[in-house]
Amino acid sequence: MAGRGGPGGSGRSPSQDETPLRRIPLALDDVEAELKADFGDSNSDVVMRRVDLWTAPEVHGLLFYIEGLVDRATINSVGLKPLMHGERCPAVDPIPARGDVLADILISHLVPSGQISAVDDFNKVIEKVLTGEAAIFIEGCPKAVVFEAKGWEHRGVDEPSTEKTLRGPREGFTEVLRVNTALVRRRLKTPHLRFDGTTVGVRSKTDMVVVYIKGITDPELVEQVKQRIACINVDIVGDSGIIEEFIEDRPDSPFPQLQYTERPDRFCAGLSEGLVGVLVDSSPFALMAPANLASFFQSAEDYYDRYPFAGPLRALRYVAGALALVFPALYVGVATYHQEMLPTSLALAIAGSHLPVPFPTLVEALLMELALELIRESAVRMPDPVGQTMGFVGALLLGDAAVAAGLVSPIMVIVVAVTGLASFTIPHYSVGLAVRLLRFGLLLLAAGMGLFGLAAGVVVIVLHLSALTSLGVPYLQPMLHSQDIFKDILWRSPMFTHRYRPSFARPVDRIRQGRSSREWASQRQPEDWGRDGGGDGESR
Amino acid sequence: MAAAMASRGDRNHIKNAQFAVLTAQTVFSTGFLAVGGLFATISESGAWLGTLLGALGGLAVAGLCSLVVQMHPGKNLSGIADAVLPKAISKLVSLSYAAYCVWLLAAGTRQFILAIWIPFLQTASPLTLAILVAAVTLYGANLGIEAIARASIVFFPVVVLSILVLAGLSVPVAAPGRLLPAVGVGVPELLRTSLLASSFGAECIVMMAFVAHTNEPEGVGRAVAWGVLVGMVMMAAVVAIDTVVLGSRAVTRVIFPVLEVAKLVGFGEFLERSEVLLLSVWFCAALLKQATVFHASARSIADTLGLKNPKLALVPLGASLVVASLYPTTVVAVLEWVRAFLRYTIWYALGLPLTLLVASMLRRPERAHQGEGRSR
Repeated sequence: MAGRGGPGGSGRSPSQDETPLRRIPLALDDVEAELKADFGDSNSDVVMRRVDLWTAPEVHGLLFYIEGLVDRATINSVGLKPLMHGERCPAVDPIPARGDVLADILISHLVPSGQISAVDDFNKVIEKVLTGEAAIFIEGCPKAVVFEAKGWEHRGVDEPSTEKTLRGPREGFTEVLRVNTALVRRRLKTPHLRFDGTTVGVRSKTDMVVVYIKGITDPELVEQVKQRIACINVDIVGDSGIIEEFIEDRPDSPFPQLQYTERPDRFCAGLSEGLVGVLVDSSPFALMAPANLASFFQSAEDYYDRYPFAGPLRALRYVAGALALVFPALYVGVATYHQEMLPTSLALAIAGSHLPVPFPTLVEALLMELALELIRESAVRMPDPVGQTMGFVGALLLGDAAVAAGLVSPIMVIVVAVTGLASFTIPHYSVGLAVRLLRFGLLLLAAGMGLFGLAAGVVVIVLHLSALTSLGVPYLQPMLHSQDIFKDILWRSPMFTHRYRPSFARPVDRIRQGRSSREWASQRQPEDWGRDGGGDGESR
Repeated sequence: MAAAMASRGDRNHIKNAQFAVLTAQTVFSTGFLAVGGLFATISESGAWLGTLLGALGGLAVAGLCSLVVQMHPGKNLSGIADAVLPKAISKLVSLSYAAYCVWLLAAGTRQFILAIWIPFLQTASPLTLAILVAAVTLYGANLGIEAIARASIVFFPVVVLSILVLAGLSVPVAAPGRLLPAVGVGVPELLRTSLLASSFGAECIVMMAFVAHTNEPEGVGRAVAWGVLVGMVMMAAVVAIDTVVLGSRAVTRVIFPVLEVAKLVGFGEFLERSEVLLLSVWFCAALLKQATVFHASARSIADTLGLKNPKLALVPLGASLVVASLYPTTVVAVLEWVRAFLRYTIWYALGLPLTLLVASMLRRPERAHQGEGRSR
């Protein structure tokens, strides 16, 4: 099949590779019996349609497909019509009524399908039919003609729900692999774009492709991804998230080590920077590797907005990330141990607001954080409008009621609200989750040993991040390169200054754009000085 | 194949810039707390100059280490000792080096525990603090020198910035005339101060445990020298700030003068007292220094005992660090301990690379002779 080159059948379990060839019976009755033995009698979606081919004398055939996985129109026009109402074909006229040659004639002359092949292994035929293809068995023929007929119901291309932007494309990946590959191809019209396909999952047999641009992506990186995928021996792959866990370097780390995205534009941008992508059938989330901490603070919109705004917004996200991680712990540490740091009026205000609260600051903070997590988690599980309402109402009511009941101080509500808002600015949900989890640890440390406990916790987190790798590439690498840090890490500089691709993925071709992208600006004549405003249209 | 699948980066290899930062952090990050008081007792207003001159001792150690490393590329301290010394002496060298590192660890941890506990966390137990420090140190050491080096790149610039901020905030309350006379009470005292101060610079010898872990072996000597220079200049700057703000007499009366200085300055109305914040920042760098030294000592002990996995030495070493960092119990005794450390360790730090250098030079003709014999 086209587009199924891949790493040599990688992704199959050893037991599958060793399965001996299962020959196709010559008698259609035997074929039907074997199919019934495999699928059972009661499967209503398994269709075995007997047909008589229009040869003279007639030859019996059996069209086999799974209802719901195929497109009915395709079955009728590509499968049934040529078999039952065949037209005269001068090249092979008269068509011999022999099953053994009919398969080749069907492929070469009669069945109008772009993806069609003759398969002699019964198991392979079943495997293909289960992925949405249709098979024609012919009486007396040791091969089956298998043709593409995929056509199941699926969600259309829609706006990504997890990576919304104000500016930029609104298309998101869907659950259909081929739709997703087309979305990528449409953006990267280069013959060097590669989709190396394979299947994973002993029972789900999920199609997936490793995507990269030959000549840009480090071949060693591609090979590493393929090898890790080839090692996966699992029953069912329901989403790319499952693949992620199998191929990341440190599954025990709270930080994600692979980027995921619903946006084809972001995916293509990653590929053009030398990353390797993975698209999994039935998942709208594409994976990209290697990842680093900075990549989780970048949003697609950063590149669509003008840089004077994109840069500060990027920096704000880092500040918000830091706030989301340490703010409650900082408050608890200062309020419990280091009140002398604060101006007297603020210290008195904090002490006064805490006076009616019967709990220590730590318990107060834990209660509010827990409430926030409950609201957030329940809002995610609700339908969209209900979820939003529940979030607002829950936060307002709970905060107000807790203060009125004297369970928490108003300042603590502010602290938790600011923390919650800050955590929403992190563009990637999985990093937000890590931050939420680690926040509790830091809270406990700050409650135990003030700012020194907090400092120790932060050191542990930074040490952990320093040791973390994504496909062997250090997680903090681009953030430690001083020359890149204000180019596209903490800040986003103008696009025309991004001459080189980021080095962390070790792209083969480092040059991303020529020097001449804004050559016209340097060619301005001295007499143009002071006429940036356009000269009141005099040039017209 | 499996190795390629697991990793494609240079794990456990660091760049020379990281090496320089690690060295500066090792030299600076714990000693600076009490150094003003210790040196002002000897040479009063000349303490800062004495500290600066102490960099020369550190640079001498760095130079000797560099010469040794150049003669044995790709080898750490234990490897070099094994190559040039008889086995028993080589083991003794590794063991003495481990003892030096443990002393350094215990002294640094004890100082920081006191600096945190006495003014800020009297409600917490010093044992809890010691356990916290040991746990973080052990975690860092377990992750390896590459992770520590990367984390140091994150924190050390913040420490440098904090010293600059401290200097900036000190300006309104500073009296620069207090730095004069620059030689203090006399040249002999100044030289004594610089000799003691050079013990801090000599802490760069810790890096001998990691010289084989650099990506650019040819520039290791320069990186260590830069680290010593930066660390000692920062330390001299801290002593100078202590002196201009408190005066050389007042500096001698407090245990941790830099904290007293931090108490006198603030960030205006928003943060009235900044010393906790500054000490927290310094604490981060100190933890990373401790992790570096801990890693060096664990490596050395593992080499001495012939352990294939240096991580086996981590847990017992961590436990002994907790115990060692709880003693001595009085501040005066701790300062005496630090003084003793300063008095002797410079000689050890000079003697160790010198011994290895001499042994290497003596072994070289012997090896050349053996080589000739073989070629025949």
